[in-house]
Amino acid sequence: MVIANRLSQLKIQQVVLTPAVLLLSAMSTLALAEVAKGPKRAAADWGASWEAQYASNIAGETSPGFLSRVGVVRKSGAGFQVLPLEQKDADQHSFMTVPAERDLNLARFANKVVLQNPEDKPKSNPCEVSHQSIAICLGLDALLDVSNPKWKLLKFDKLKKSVELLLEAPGASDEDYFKWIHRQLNYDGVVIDVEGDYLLVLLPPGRAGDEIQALTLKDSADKIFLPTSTVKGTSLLQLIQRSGRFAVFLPVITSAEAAKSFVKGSKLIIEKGK
Amino acid sequence: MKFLYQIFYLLILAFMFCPVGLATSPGLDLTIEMTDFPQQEIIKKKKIRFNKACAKFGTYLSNNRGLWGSGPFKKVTCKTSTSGKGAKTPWLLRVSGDSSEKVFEIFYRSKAGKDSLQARYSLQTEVGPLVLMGKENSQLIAFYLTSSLPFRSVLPPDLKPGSGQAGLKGRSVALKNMNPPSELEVFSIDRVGDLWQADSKGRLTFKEENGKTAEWVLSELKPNSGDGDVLFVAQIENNAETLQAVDRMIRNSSETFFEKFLNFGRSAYVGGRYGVPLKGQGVLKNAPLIGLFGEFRSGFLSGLRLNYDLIPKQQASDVNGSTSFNWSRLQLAYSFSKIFSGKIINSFDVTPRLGVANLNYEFAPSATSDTTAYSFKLNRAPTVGLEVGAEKATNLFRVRAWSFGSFSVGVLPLDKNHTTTSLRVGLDLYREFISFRMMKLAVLGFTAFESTKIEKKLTDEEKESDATLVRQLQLNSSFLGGGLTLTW
Repeated sequence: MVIANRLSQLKIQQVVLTPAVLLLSAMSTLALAEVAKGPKRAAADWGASWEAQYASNIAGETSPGFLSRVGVVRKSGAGFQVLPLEQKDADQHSFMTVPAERDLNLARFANKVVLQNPEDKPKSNPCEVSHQSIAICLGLDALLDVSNPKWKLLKFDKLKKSVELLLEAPGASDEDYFKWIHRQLNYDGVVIDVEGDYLLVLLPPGRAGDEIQALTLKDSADKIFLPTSTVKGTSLLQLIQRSGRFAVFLPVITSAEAAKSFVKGSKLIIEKGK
Repeated sequence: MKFLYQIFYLLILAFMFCPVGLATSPGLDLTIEMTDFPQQEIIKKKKIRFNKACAKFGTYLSNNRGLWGSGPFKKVTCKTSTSGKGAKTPWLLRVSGDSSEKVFEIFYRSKAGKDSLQARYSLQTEVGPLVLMGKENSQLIAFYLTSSLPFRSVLPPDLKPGSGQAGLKGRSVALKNMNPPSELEVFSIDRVGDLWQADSKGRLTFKEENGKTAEWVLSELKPNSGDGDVLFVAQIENNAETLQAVDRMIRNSSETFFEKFLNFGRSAYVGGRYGVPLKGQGVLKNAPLIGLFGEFRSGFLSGLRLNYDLIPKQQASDVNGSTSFNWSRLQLAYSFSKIFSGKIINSFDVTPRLGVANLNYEFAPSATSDTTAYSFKLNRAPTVGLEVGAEKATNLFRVRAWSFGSFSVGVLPLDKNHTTTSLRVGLDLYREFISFRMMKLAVLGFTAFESTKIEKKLTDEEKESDATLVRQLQLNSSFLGGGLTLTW
């Protein structure tokens, strides 16, 4: 999507091409596209389109370095039961989206089993037979299995193969699944795009007010969990614009190590501002 | 040439920079093929006839041209193959069967060549497949099939996100007794392995049914949805009820008169109930209500209902004397119903009822009583009544609220001595608990209140008499009970 947009800005249809220079052209086009971005746009102009573009690209995809869409399941018979979740509950503690009852109904409907012989025994819905099938049907990149006393958090790759991230029992203060997840992650938000000095960030919409500051965390881009002992702030960010779970920040105080934190996947914690 | 280079260039770029995922868009080309029927039939009826019937049938499956704007397919091809190997499209509609049954099946064919059944409709009929595909009710069969698919239509491409007016329009004339669903789901969909990954994007809300067309407008759409993406539409809520109603319409319209005659008992509904009085007085204090009921759901009697209710003979006595009472009624009814997809009710019905009632109420005074003896008797008194009901069906239960009023004066003046009027209201709750092949057993809970007034017409002699006469009897009773119903 990003590439297509930038190509259209460059009006490549007016360029005369030959197969011999295709590869070279492709590479140079990308370089030109970077240049063609031109002077910095006002935050108000690109905040909304940035958000929409991200929302469009992220659907069903995996997000390296962080979890973006999570479901909660419990063992039920030979398969699993996907627990109905309310986005507003997740929004208190997490920037992740969750499948609502409506998404579940749609997945079940689209994947219902049609029997060739109507007298055969009805089969269970194939969406709910395994962790992988649940992740595919609901477009999840993470799954919390609460079947056992120790909850299991799984992450899925592009092929929807799962990697077990964590196996830990909920603590006494973990009122709900998202509070538990938040406690494990140990951060509030994640940088999902960078343009010039501006950072597009995902935040828990239920927690972040309109006047907040945030702290980027050192060496956090490729880590899903941040142990408390390793958390170290690198720069203080000032909120520029907010829309739901998306926010645009601008660094106001930076350290020498800050540049490494201005990359996709970097984590941050909310600091109450002003 | 320059244009071709540009296309090639873009393809190379897409290949280089887009991650290769497993998700694939479902494709929208369909092949209709007829198999299993004797080859002679195709030859005899001639290919041209198959192609004509197939083209007509294909129209209702394509480009939102089916009922209520259904029909997702972009291109429909017809093949008279007997092997099924000719089709190269991602979707295949196979028409098969024998002389007594016709089967329509839609398969999704993966790139690896694996077929997965996505929709199926079968019909017990001796009517030929070409006649079925070419007849008016082929619209209903096409609608049944597309409504069973993961998506029944594609949102028109002129969709403007956020406009609030863009939507879907489609013919509804063949869906005579049905109200359009109040909401349709809008989503994008991809095939990932053997599963569909659907991503909800918004919804269409029913706007109006104007003459022969129904219209839905886009009431909600996620930001950035619809910009070049293909968005699909499905009816998720009450889909099973819609399919059931369409199935009944197809079966009724596909039968010849002879078939209708033979098939009157093929599908039916019978049940029995027993109720205890909630608040009865006098002789009705302990009177139970016993009922038998049934409905023909196929053949020429389809829609006809029979009810028989009985209060067995009851006797009570006190210092004034003894009272005896028994009552029964047999009713024949035909229901006219309208199916909704609303949140509060799913259907509304009006049911005229004709019947006969028997009633015997006698009071014999004791020797010490100064009360006059009296009796009220209805012997096969004809009654005419009208019932209205509203029903809500969910996955777990079906609940129906109803009200019935009847009278037996004027219209059928066979019993000239009495006038009876009756008003009943009630609530029925059904819960299916056993399903075996085509048989379904359900438990019924009910409550009903009935008020019956019987007025005696006095003879001239009685009018002139000085004796105390009882002219009118009012019986109020209410019941709570349960029962069983069997559907096949």
